[in-house]
Amino acid sequence: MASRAGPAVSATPALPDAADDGPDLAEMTAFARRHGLGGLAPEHLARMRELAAPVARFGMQIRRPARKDEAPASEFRVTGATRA
Amino acid sequence: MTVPARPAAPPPWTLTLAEASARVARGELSPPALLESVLARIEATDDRVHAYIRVAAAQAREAAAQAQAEIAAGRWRGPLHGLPFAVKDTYDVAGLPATAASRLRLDHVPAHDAALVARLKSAGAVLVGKLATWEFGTGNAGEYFDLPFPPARNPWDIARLTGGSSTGAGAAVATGMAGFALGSDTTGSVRLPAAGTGTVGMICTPGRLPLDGILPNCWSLDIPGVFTWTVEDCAIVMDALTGPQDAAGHPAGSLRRSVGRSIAGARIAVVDDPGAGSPRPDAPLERGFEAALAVLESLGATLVRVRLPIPAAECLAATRMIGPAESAAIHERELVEHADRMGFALRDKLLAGSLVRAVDYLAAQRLRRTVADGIDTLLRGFDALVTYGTLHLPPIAGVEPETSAFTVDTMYTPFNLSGHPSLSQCTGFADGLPLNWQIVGNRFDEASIVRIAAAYEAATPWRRERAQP
Repeated sequence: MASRAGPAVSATPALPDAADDGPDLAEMTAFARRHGLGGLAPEHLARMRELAAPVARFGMQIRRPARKDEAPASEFRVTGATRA
Repeated sequence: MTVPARPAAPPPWTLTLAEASARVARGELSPPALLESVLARIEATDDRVHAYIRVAAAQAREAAAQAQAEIAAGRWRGPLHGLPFAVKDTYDVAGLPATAASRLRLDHVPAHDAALVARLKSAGAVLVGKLATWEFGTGNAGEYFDLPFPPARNPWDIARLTGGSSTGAGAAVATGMAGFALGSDTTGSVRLPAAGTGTVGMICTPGRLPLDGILPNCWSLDIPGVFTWTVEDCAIVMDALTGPQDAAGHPAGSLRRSVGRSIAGARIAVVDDPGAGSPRPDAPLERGFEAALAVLESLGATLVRVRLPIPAAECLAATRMIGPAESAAIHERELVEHADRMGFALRDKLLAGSLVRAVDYLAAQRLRRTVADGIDTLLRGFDALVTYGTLHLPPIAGVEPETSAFTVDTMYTPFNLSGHPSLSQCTGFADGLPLNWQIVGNRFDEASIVRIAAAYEAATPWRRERAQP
């Protein structure tokens, strides 16, 4: 079997405590209000609270490139350039 | 002595695009007759499959009649002239609702065609209708049965799902309810339902096909895709969509010319290990994959087993930052004002996206460049790479965690992140359910994918029967 070495990337950052189940509902409600989501129904805020910890864990699982000059991939297209 | 009755000719909906096109061009099959056969197939089938959100029969009959008149007058426009197709309901079609399967868009009627729809109409293709999709063409991997339209069922076993998000596209093509279909892919939304329904599903190198007029889901990952029954049909549609020059200005060439070419001497990289963090494929998929590799070897290809530079599970983690964050940005107003009218899956994704830190989003986009460079390096010296598509068989509707696992346990996201062209293909059946693999090409080398996939297809019997739900 042929195999190739992987690219140089640093290890993942320290992961948050897996037992951390995220913010409490008051904290989540305050966060939502600060970010324009204060109108969400209580059950949606409760769901958002449940999602907070796994989203944070996924984010921290992403390896960070070792070099600071490794920029993000280009993100946006200019719509006019692709118009038929 | 009695003369045996001549067997009835198979109905036109069973024809491939290549066959139908040739008959239409020779005047042996009229576009209206082909359309009526497809409409009859929809009438007989779609109450169980739910591939269509809307059948535009009147408009389709008008277009088919126009095609017939043009062809009769000697104005044949090309291989798709008079052939029926359908599009995911996230595509704009002038005058038809584009609901994206959402209560929020039931009354949304665009004034213009999406760029790809316009190209197909210019090629003389006949739009039959709009196809089922997950809400807004996205979700959280699960199915919650809470949208205004029922989810498309898997036509090989209607107790099962197709996989999303272009659910109706795969189901329609697998059953002959559309000659071909257009969908869109962000992290597998063309290849996953193609795999689940045993159809061909292909995405090109990003930039080849325009996204204009398709409801955005994720600016940096969205890409249109094509569903067909055969590889040659896929090449025909792609040729019509790209034309001689793609949307980014690159020469596109004819993919159809790659069909029928030998793969003797082709060098193909094989990724048979999903890598850390992913489950092993279901046993039937593993057996199907190895059997398909043996076919490639018997055709003279040289196979070299390799590993992905970044495991698929890590790529999935990156897309779990990029996808939800961009979706939440795109649909922020809808979340703020109408969260209660959304289905659970869309709302869940937007809520999650609203929690993504910018630092983590950018980390994912930085990893994406690493993935792209790594796969470019890996593919150097190879004509293509083959690997698994899904790691599971299509799930039974309403059963979790199987439904979500079918969506997330795949080998698709590395190539969304990297921007390589890719094709999902049927590699056989197990207990009546389609198996699949994925063929990935170098950037802008869709031709090698088509050459390999067509050679495999020609050497195997998997295109003989459509699904009979």
